[in-house]
Amino acid sequence: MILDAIIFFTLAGIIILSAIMVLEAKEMIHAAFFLGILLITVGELYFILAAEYIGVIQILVYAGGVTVVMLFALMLAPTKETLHDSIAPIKNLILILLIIPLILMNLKVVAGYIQSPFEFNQEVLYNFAIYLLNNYSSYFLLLVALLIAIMLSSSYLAERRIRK
Amino acid sequence: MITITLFHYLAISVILFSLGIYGLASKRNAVRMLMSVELILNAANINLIAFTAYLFPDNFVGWTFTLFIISLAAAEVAIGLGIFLSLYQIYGTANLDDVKKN
Repeated sequence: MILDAIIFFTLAGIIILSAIMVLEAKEMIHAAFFLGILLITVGELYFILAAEYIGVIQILVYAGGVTVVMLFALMLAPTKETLHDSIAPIKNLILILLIIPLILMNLKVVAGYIQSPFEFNQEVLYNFAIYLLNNYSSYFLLLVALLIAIMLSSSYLAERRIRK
Repeated sequence: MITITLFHYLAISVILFSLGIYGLASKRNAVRMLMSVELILNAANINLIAFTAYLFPDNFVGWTFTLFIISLAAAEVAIGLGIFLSLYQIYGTANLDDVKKN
């Protein structure tokens, strides 16, 4: 019970601190980095809440995809804020070096802690898959159409830029 | 002895949501505004998953909604950053106030 509380409040602290840093970090690159930390930690919360599948999707799509896309945008469009100073001060480096082991430790603790407070059994995932395919398959097709439209419009935007 | 209840998760969600609203209202950098939108969507996701775990453990509606929200958020970021890069090419700035003045 006490371990529960310790893990939860650690995760909550990381989430809130990194959310503040996302908004207040001077460098946009640092803001993107803290956004990645926030998204991973929210994924860990999902692990505690017995939604492992959603946690994995969160870490893969959000922390993996969205953060990298944002970093690419920041690299392609160096605004004043990103150009501000090219070499990160040692203070920031130490902060980053401290945060990464903390996140890894969290992942290990949370992953070893899946059993409680909610029970994890494999049937849940199986039932979830059946439920999705039975009730939401048409919505998934809609989602596919939307994603294709977004892919085409992104390439249209890029093409317009190249022509100019 | 502290027991973690639904209330704690809702508290995190409320804090994240208000931070996101604060960012949307006060920041003018386009990428940072997109990040604020991400914070708001994550707050909604935490709500959905926590309600599913505590109140409806046998029901998958919350999980399904979260899946859809995650994929839509990824799509939104892709198109938002595309628009941002186009704006940057035209106006040479990431600040939306400067874009309006031009």
